[in-house]
Amino acid sequence: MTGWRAGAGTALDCSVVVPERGVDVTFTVDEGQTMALTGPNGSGKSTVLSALAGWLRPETGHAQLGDRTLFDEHTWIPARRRNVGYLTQDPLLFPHLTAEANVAFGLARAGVVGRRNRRDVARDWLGRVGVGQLASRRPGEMSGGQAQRTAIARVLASGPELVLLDEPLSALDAQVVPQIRELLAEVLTGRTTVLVTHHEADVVALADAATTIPAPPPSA
Amino acid sequence: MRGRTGHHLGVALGLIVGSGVVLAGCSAPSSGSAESGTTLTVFAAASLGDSFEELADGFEQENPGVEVEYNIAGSSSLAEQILAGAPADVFASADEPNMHTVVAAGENSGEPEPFATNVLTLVTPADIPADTPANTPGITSLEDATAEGVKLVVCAPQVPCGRAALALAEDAGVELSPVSEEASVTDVLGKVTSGEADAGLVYVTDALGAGESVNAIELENADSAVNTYPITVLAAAAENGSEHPELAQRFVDYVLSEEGQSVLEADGFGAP
Amino acid sequence: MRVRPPAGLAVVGILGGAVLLVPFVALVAGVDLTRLPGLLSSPSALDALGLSLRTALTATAICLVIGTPLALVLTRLDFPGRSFARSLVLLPLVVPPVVGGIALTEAFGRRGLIGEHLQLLGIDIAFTSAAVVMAQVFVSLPFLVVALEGALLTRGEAHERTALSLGASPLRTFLTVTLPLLVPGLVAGLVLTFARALGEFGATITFAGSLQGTTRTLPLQVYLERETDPEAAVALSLVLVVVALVVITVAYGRRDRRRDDRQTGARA
Repeated sequence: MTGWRAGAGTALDCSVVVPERGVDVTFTVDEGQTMALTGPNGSGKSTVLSALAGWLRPETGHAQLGDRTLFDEHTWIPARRRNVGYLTQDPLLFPHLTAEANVAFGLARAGVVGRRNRRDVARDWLGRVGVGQLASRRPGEMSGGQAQRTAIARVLASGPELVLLDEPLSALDAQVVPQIRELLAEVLTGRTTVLVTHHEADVVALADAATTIPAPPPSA
Repeated sequence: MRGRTGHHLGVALGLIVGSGVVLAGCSAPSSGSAESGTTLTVFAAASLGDSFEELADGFEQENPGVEVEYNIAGSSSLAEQILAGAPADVFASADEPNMHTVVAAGENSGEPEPFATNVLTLVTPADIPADTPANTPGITSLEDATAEGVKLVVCAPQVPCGRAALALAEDAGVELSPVSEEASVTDVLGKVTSGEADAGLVYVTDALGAGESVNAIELENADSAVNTYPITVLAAAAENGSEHPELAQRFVDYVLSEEGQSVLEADGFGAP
Repeated sequence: MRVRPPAGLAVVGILGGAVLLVPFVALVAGVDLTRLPGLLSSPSALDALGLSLRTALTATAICLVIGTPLALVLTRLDFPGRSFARSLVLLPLVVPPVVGGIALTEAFGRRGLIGEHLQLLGIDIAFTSAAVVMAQVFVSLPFLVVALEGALLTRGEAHERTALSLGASPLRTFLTVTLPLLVPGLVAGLVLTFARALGEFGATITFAGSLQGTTRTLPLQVYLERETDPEAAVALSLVLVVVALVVITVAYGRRDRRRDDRQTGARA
């Protein structure tokens, strides 16, 4: 029960410049801290996350995660080798897999070897996020809150060195939001995290620091 | 049996085939000549297409104000359409069984008369270099064409040219082992002109029509399977207009006349 | 409460349905049920049915193996002229099948572009069951590719990205995420592909020929039967209609059920 924690806590130093989307953001996140990115719609918050996750190559900029360079002028590590976890408002669980298999999906990267070990670790994680009893359910048989809990377990179980959260609570029913927020606060403790959110409550509950991205110039 | 078949076809195909034919028929008079404009509708077998175009020109010259419209298709399709109530004046079939179908259903008016014959001939692709390994060279007879390894294409026994091919083979004492039995003589010819087949059995008229793209090899016993083409005025002619039966008979007579026969002969048909 | 279309449109819509259905009703009405067993168990009919099933299944399997990668290339790979390439795939759908048959002959016939060289290797395709399968693949592949493109485009790439972000290799992502998610679209596409292959006529008769047990599939048998025994042709046609009906009901019924399930699932 050690391998999957190994990645926790590495500092991030990044600068993302995407002129066509009016994005020019520079910030650092200390090891184990959570940085909230806030700002109006269209300010490019999600663009920053895409660049860090490896889905969009910024025109210029760089990202340094611990001693690794995720990207700069010369370097581009593809998404699957970044060890960066990405959670969106849509849990994006694999609909054909059970909750347990969804969580187990990323365990290979976390270094968990053997089918039985993966099952045990996946169950353990499902228990930690409060859906231990749903291990054999498929996403279609879960509520929105249950699915998002499973998605949180899946992304953290894969042992990311950096966690990216893109409005993780905004698609949930209002009555489950406080519980999931509480869960996130608990499981993200000690993990380097970038959180994009609209909600002040999220910033207060989850972030150690915040960066506000200004609105883009009114061009288009 | 035949009659019931026809009835069922009337139900099944009437909507599709019949309606198309009726529409075509309806639009015909408007395109006829302005004065005594009469449009004669002739159903002619596919192999007669070119010859009947020529015959129509001659007939229209002899009968001013009359326009001949053709429906050219396989004889069995034409018979089906006639039984389904298509408003045709004349039916020229490529074989006797299909004419028989029409007569049995009482759709004719007057006795069908034979007006042409057609015999089979062997065709091989023309423009193949002799040393092409794919093609068996030196096919000069039906025996050669039925030899092992030769790709022979014939008509299926269900259609007139296939029946003729069988009769021919029986007479020659050879057994046909074709690589394909096509539903129409056009398809046989196509397989030979494209070079897919080494040899094919088609009508003399088809071989003539294909021109340079095939070698036609006359068969010694071609006369053992003579296909006779009958023509008749149809009962539906009376419904098309009072002058139609007489005009239709005049067309039949024209086909049988010396002038008509010479046109057919030029296209490779034999005399009845 | 549903938003109803204007009354006039409904009437035209019902007429439209009649245009599709009346010929089939007439076909069924034209079958002499007492003769049906005899007609369907004749050696030529059984040969044709067996050949049709064998070749159509083979063609469907080939379409699956080559069509899935093609659909992926057309939707997930950026290359110049992609949208043109995507419309090219539709070509066999819109040209008359006879034209397809002629094109196949020009390519794989004895004197064809490729056939000429195959010939030298001793491979002769014309007049074989393989030619039938090729004609069927040619005309039915677009059905599969179009169905898969639709499935790939509606679903998007979010799940695949998630898998890659979790450290999965592209191959593992394809096998464990892309393919399983494609299954509904794949089933619907395969069913249409099979039905189209089963019904293929024009390209087959032009390219493959017609010989009982080798190249004379059920549609060719129907066409030939018409010459001498139209009643048998109607009976065989009925078999094709019934097979097509079963295939379509199974596939689309299943899909609709799944969709309903998903909706109720989302509400719960």
